[in-house]
Amino acid sequence: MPATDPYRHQVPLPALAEPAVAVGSEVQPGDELARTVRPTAALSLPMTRPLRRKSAEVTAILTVSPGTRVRANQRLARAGDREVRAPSEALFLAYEPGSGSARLLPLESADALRSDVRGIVMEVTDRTITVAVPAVVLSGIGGTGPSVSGPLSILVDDPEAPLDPTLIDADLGGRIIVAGSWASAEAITRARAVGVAGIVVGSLHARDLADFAGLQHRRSLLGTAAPPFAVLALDGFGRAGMDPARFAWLQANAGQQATILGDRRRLLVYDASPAPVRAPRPSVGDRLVIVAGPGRGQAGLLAEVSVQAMAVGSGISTLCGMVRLDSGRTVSVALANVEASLPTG
Amino acid sequence: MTTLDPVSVVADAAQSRPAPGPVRAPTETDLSLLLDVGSAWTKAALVGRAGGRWRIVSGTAQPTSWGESALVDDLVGRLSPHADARLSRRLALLVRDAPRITSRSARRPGRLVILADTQAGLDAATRLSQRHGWIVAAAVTSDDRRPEPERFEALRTAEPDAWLAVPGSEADPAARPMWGILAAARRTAGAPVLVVGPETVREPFASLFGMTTRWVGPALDGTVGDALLAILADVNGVPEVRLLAQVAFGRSMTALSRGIGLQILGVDLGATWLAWAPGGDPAHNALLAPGQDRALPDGSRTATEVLPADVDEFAMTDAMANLAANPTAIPSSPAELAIAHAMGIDRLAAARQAMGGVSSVDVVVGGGRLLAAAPHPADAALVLLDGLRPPGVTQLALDPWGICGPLGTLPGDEVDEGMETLRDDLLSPLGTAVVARGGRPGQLAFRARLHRTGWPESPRVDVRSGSVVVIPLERGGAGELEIELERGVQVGEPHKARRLRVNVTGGAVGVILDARDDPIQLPTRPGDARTVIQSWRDALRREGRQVSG
Repeated sequence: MPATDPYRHQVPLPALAEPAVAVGSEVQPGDELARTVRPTAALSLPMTRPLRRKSAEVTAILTVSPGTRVRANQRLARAGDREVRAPSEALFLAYEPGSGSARLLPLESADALRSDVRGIVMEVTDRTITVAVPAVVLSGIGGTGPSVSGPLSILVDDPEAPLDPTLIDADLGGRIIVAGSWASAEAITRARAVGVAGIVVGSLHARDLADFAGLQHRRSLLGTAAPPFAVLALDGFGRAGMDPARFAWLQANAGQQATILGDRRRLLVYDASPAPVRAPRPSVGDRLVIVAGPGRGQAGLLAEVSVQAMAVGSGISTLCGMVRLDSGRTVSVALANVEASLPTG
Repeated sequence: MTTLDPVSVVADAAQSRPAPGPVRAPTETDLSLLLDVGSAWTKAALVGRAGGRWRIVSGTAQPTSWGESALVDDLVGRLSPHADARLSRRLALLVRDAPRITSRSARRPGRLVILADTQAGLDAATRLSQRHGWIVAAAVTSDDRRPEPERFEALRTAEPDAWLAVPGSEADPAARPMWGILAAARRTAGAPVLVVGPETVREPFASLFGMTTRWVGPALDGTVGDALLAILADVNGVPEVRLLAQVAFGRSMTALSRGIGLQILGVDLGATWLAWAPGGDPAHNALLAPGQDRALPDGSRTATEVLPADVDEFAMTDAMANLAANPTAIPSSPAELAIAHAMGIDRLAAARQAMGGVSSVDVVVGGGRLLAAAPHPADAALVLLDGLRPPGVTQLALDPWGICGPLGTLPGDEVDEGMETLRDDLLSPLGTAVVARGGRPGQLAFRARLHRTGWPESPRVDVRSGSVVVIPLERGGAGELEIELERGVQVGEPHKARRLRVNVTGGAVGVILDARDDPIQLPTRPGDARTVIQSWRDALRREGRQVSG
């Protein structure tokens, strides 16, 4: 089933990047979006002698201004029939009268900026490229890692089931694996080692996520070549289960191509059915999920709302609701700690 | 006319419950709605005129994401049982159509890139910008010894809301490679460039960077801060700076200080922002953005070390991460509440360090949901005391309804008028705190006796170093506290006198005698530390005293 409104994925362009796509271009993950350059060691280009001018006179005859990107052999200054030209493509930073030289930052080709997603380019400016992505987006609460793509593999049957490391093997290489509640440091390490593209779970220990992000950062500084890998927690930190509605939706879309944008804490599932929607302030009769406090991750029905504020376990007085959980229990929960779980957007 | 018992209003305010009766609904329908729209919570207070006086008749707080309709419904629901039957059918409409005074938190901090000639210039610019709601996304100095390619790479991916240029000399920027790097990284039609330096650089920078360049002044002072606030408001879609909640809070503290003639420190501890407002010195107001690592005072314990509950490390970091990721969430257990309060103490302590300490003031006013919704006023008092360690003798009060922000948005002198108009309902007094420094743990720090005109002589109270003791004194009560200091113990500024007599006022907690030094000393063993921390909480919650033998 096709997604509803496409997701607008905005890619910022660094200074000096040149778009390599146009509006209407179709892109796939890994396709070039923009050509980039990087500066190399700065050089000083003598100006006074070639122009036969005194240092203080050169400023008035410059033909470029500071910050300009100049092409190879572009004229920088002219005095009659004498010129000074750029030796290569560069940034013209300044003319320094003290030394009588121009300060240039030569540029060389760098790695292209590549697409993380599949879609159609809908806008190109000098600062951003926006791609319309035919995918449904789930926003998470914690994540790390670059963009990774692969088919969804659901490894458990229960939204409260954790990611068992023994279920992870090399057959899952290149896939995005999904479990219910949480993933241990051991499971994360094992998944990365066998070539899994990424992990999506309901929760993660904040400490494990921070440790893993730190490890990734250190590896990148060392230049240690490793396939990209991302982790995403959809609902919270700890060991709570995933929102049952979201889990059921992921199960229904097993096998679909997906992309985790770890650092942006998002999961994109291509060509998926519309996902369940969360909304604040459920009303009596709404299905909801507990998003904070005891019972986080559990779903149920809002049966009743208190007329007056009531004290919760911490002693804070707040509006509460009686929730009939899917497990059969009925609990009182602060209304600020629940969200309505609507079937589709 | 609506009548409310003012003591009931104040006593219940900290519990976020509406005032009880007896109430008669107004036959006139003068109402105003004061709204403080925070990043996580919106606080609303309905103000009505009764007998020629404006009073708060109802109030509530809800997650901002719930929207206005739910907020109005809640207010109407709280007011309906007390309203005159003749108005009941119109009440919802009256509340919805009531004139509003609204303050609004910025959705996000500003992102700034700073280029300065010197590291000293960069440090000063960084401090100034951080105090005005900005984070520094990237920074370059001409003396940072980095090669130009590296400087350019640092700037090229920044997507700032503004650039701040701090040239230290009058040299033409076109002759300085660093400014060429700025021009290249910024691209054409980029974010505005603010220039702080000699006036002689004004023209050259305008020539280099075009129409969006603004020379702000020769020094990194309040003028630059005002310029940054204006851009911050613009970036956040707030039409005027004074409508920013944290700026408005500062204005209200200044007005309050003028109105009551006392030195005030206001701290609004929001879900994301922290407003710091020394009411007697508005030039030092600060709006501190979230997510910045700030140092705690030397010797301070971090939040993770001051929990009264036995919480394992994973559970603690998870709870902290969940609270940070979901700021509307309500702590649902004693452990979560302790963690939330510990995080608040950390934030206040770090802000105190960043702002150069807390001077001796007459009143500390605490705002923000963490304090206003505290289950017991003693909890709020402890957060303020532990986070700020206000020296000397200080009255503590809360802004329970969250109306200081909205009142602070009023233009010009109307702020003073607004604060005076609602003076009776504005603050919820917690009492007076006496914070002593020095002394040896477990040894006697000072003795205190409260004298009240028309009351029997009260017993003398012994306060040992490392302990906190409360002398009951109700709201509206006042007295003179006689203090006898032991050697090595100081209250406020150091002085030779060992005996002091200070005026104190009462509140929801009373007179708090705090001999825990600064920074607070804790036992090194975690179990012992937890026991001691719990004992402090119990002491503040219990109107108790120690009596000398």
